[in-house]
Amino acid sequence: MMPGNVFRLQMTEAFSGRRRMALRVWVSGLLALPFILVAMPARAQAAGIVMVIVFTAFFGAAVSHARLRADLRLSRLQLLPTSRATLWLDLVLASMLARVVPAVVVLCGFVAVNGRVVTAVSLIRLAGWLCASLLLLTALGSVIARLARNNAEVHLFGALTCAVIAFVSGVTPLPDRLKWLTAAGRGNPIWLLRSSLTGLTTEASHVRREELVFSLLVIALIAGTAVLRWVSGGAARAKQFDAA
Amino acid sequence: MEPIVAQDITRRYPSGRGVHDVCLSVRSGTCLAVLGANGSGKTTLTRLVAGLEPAQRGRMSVLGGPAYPRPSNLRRRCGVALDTPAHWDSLSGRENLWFFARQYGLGGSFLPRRVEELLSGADLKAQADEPVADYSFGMRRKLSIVEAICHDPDLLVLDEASAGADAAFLDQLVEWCRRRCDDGKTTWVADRDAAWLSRVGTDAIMLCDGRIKAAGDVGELMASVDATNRIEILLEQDDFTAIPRIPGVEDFDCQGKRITAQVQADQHLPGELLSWIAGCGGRVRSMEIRSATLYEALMKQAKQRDREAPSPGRTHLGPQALS
Repeated sequence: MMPGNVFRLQMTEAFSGRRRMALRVWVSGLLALPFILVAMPARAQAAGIVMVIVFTAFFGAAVSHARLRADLRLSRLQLLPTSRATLWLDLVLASMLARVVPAVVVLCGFVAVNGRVVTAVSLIRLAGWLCASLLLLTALGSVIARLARNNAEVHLFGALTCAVIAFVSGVTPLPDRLKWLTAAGRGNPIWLLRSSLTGLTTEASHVRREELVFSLLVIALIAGTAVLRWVSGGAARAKQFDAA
Repeated sequence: MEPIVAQDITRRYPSGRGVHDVCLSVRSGTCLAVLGANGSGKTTLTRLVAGLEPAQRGRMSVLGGPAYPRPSNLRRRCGVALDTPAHWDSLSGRENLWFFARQYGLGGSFLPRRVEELLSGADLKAQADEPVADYSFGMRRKLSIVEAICHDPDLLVLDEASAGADAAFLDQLVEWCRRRCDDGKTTWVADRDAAWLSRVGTDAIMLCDGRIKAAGDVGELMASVDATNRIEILLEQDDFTAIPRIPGVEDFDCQGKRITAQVQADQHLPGELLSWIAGCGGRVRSMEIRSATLYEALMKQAKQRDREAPSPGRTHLGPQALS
């Protein structure tokens, strides 16, 4: 399978090593295991699962982007005649999809063990917010890696960013005078992912029509773009350089 | 239109290194050899020409457009191999090369033919389907160079091309560069290997402390030192201070136990020099004689320039400059 664009190249690289993929799934699974198996309030369980996804997706994206820059692969990509927008779209989309597999394994485990109101609609909502959250976290990770000068700075900024995400997404309880942080972040994809996870385990899951439509749109947009980019990086197009 | 034009280019790093007030114009069909010691500014200037960094001062144009940020249509006409090979290690050499070829617009039946041709040229065909992670440093270097030339770019920029590459590939690279010159394409080769640069380059510049100290046509430069040998002598003591007055011995320099001298290519002169050193109380441990290289030719020109005019102005390089 010959990679013909950055998206296909990154995807081929991400899924080429079985060990790397297995490690990603195992690490996410092990981190999430206490929140899946140990009995605790639904809110705490959902918060724990969301933090595992935030941690693995955000840090995974940030560190892999920092490595891409440190070993000069990013410089090489920037010298290619690909537009900046396409380059960043391919990098973020491929990085996001590489992190879907471990997140889906964790969520499947969580829903299988703790799910009470599991309907197709609630699962679509969950999948929609998962995709949106992963896209946001991957983009944030790439931006942080771009701003940081080295891997150590990536970890420092990453820890701070994860803390902010936890505060604004209602994952961590905040004192009253800081409640405005949660209010300000209410409605962000990670906040909605947490609330849809809580809903799955509390028998109080009511999916609004707008939420369902938005989830379907997000899934369709991401899947459609991924398929388009994958196909366009496949078979070689009409020859342009035959004269050479 | 000259493919590379730089006017008073400055790019300085916090360490103080970089390039300062470089003026340069390179004509089409030139293979420019860029020579200099470590930290002389070769890689900085190469990164500016490649479009990886902007100049802090001055103006630079490449292929008629801005050097940085470089528009997509100009990036398509350039090929760059940086000093550090960077690949997707879990993919094979063939997959890496295929990716770059596709990105530069190659397609159809020409693409696989070109990939095979380049892999053969770099002697990587047997390892083409192995992951790049298993490649040696030299193999990675060769792969990154063929990735840069896969689309036969109008401007090819190579940094430290000879580092790690085997002799057969360097011969092949010389052939490819000569063919490019015949086709009117421009090549920029920054390297430390003066002997190889004198084979590959049509023109040369020497950087020293971020400035162009010498420049010219490689043929003329080599002719200027054709009748010269370089002698390196290692003494047993480090207190030798005498200076010879032997006709034919130029540029005698003694630092500690090490003596370097440029001498005319006369078979008696090394013996005369040894006798003179022994006569002055020097005890010679070893002596090495070799032909002068492009480096010595550029150094000679730099010293002449320093004597005549301290500032060389803009350096014009290329085939038309010869006429």
